[in-house]
Amino acid sequence: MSVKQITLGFGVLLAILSHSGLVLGAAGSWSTKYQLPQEDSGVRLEQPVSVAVDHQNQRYYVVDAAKGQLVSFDKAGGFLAAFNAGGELQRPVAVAKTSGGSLWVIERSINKLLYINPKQQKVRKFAPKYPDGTEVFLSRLALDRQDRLFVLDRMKGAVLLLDDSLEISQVYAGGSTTHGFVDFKLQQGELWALDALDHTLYRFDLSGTVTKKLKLSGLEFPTAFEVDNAGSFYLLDRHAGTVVVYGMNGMRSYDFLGKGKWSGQLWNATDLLFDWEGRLCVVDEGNGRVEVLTR
Amino acid sequence: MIIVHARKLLLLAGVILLFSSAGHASDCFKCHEATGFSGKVVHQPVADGDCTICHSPHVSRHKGLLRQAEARLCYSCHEEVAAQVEKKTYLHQPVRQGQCSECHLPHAADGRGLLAKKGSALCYGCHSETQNAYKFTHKPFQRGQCNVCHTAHASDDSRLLKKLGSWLCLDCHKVTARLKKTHLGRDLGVLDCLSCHNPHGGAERKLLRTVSHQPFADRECETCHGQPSGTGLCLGCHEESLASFQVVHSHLGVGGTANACTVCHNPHVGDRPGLLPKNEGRICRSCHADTFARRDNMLHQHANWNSCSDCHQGHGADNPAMLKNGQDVCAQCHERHKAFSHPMGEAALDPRNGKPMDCLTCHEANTGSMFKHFLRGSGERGLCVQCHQSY
Repeated sequence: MSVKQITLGFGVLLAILSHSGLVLGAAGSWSTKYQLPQEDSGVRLEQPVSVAVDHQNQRYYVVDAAKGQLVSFDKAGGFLAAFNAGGELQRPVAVAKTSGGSLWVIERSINKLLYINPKQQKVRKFAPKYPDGTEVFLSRLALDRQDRLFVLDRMKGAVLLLDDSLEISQVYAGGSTTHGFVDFKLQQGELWALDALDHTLYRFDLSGTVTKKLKLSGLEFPTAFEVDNAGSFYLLDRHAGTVVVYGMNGMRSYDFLGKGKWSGQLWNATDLLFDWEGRLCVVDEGNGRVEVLTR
Repeated sequence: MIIVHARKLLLLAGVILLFSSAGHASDCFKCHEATGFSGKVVHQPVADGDCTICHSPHVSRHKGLLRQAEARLCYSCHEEVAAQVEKKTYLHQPVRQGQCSECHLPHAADGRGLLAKKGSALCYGCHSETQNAYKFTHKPFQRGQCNVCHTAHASDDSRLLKKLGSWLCLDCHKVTARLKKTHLGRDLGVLDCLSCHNPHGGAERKLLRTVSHQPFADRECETCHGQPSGTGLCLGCHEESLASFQVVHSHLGVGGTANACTVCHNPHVGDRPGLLPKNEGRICRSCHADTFARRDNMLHQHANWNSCSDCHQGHGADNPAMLKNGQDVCAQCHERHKAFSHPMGEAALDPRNGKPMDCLTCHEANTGSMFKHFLRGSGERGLCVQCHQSY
């Protein structure tokens, strides 16, 4: 067997392995592009719990729950501003920005949705309810391309689509066997939701029908996830301090990061989000920073 | 040439014979007092006078000149125990640590199974907290027969029960019309008897747990039953509880579409206020199995680690991991230690992330660790050099 043949054989093997996700190093070469805030910026986040991205203006909005602030950063990770909506933010836990520049914020201390218009400096508060009057316990939120608002109700473990009057127009629930969802993502006209205790991802069509379930293996305590354009899933394992990647069929591919306090390590991370360039933002509550990763 | 080889082989056989007989009991008892190896029950190799099955007469890397590590040695004959341990989810602590001799005597004992003590006296050596007196006592508990309900090695139940759910109880307590009527005609096979009954004893004949939900005590079942059973049912009376969930991290939502409250609280009876069981960790383990699994494998663990609510806020807290009082949680018990430890707080920022240091920077109190005082690294060097790299 010639050297050329061996090389060719090795190449074919490598291609097969990398397609099946068995070549860990190559697939998992994520590294920190920068941190929010940057180390020398003099800005300190006390308790970052979630992040939102303004794709249009290429900005990051980090929610600092302990300081009651939204902190914005530019596309290079530079600090822009900290904002507390005139003292209305006490324990914010999630934020989303509309295409018109307004902000939806979940204020946990009063369990209300805040609609903030920064230009007019106006804050309006809402408490969405079920038709029977039961309160929604707001946990996470997201906007689709039409600025429709989706929220996660932790009380029932279901995702809710709210209409323009903030009435519940659609419920995305996993049925009697689910332990309730802890996170959800909107991806190409579909909604994915994570049942953390069961380590299962549910896919819904927008009419609320479950169209797929993916049971994921090898996780300790998943708390958040993200989906990339290729359909791969990134699961944040809070206790293990890792991000675990699964193929679109739910097969585990590789994991990266690890538990610790140095840069590139996680300590009680809470949220995952892709930015406008496909960089992965990992919100690390314990280390007080957001790792922006690229590969 | 053939004759020379035959002589060599004979010589070798003689040497082997000489050394193999050196381990026979009669030789061992020249030094080791034989009376220490007698009892009502004698381990088979001892009875056969074959010490060398377990011990190497010359050298070993294991204590007592054992031929292998303790558990591995035992499993080489007691395969059925090895198979049980392999299959089950939860292992008894000594089994997990491979310390069979924590319970069994290796040579001889007065009781079956070569147990070091009889009945519950053996179990109470470690589980003294269960040694309680009750007005009414469950018969096996009264007789010290822990093994009627518990298995000593491994189980699929974290309490090491022999069977899951009500099937353990129904082995003795036959399903009668009266029993069914008492439980409102429900299928007894799917009930969790132990959620309401204390299997050791109680203050009344039915061994019900001591703290009752008021409607249950007043026999006003319809207060709760016959209405939608979601979380809203509980909040209807306990509305003030909702505020305790309006924090950054909360346990609300662990029930899925069902009632979140009853995941932790028993709606009928409990062992303590809040209708929680005494064995609190069992509830927490049902969702945080990974934390308990990590802890189980650690050499050094925080005392009272099963009393999760000593450090964690059950409904929720603003702090990560729902810790009480934030990072000052340790000072609740270790007040003195705080004064003479490594600098902490704003005066000592962790160089790794710029956050103020606290007790948990160095101690892993939650899962424990492989190091003394459940430090996150060796206290001699490994831990400190994480920050003090020039050392």
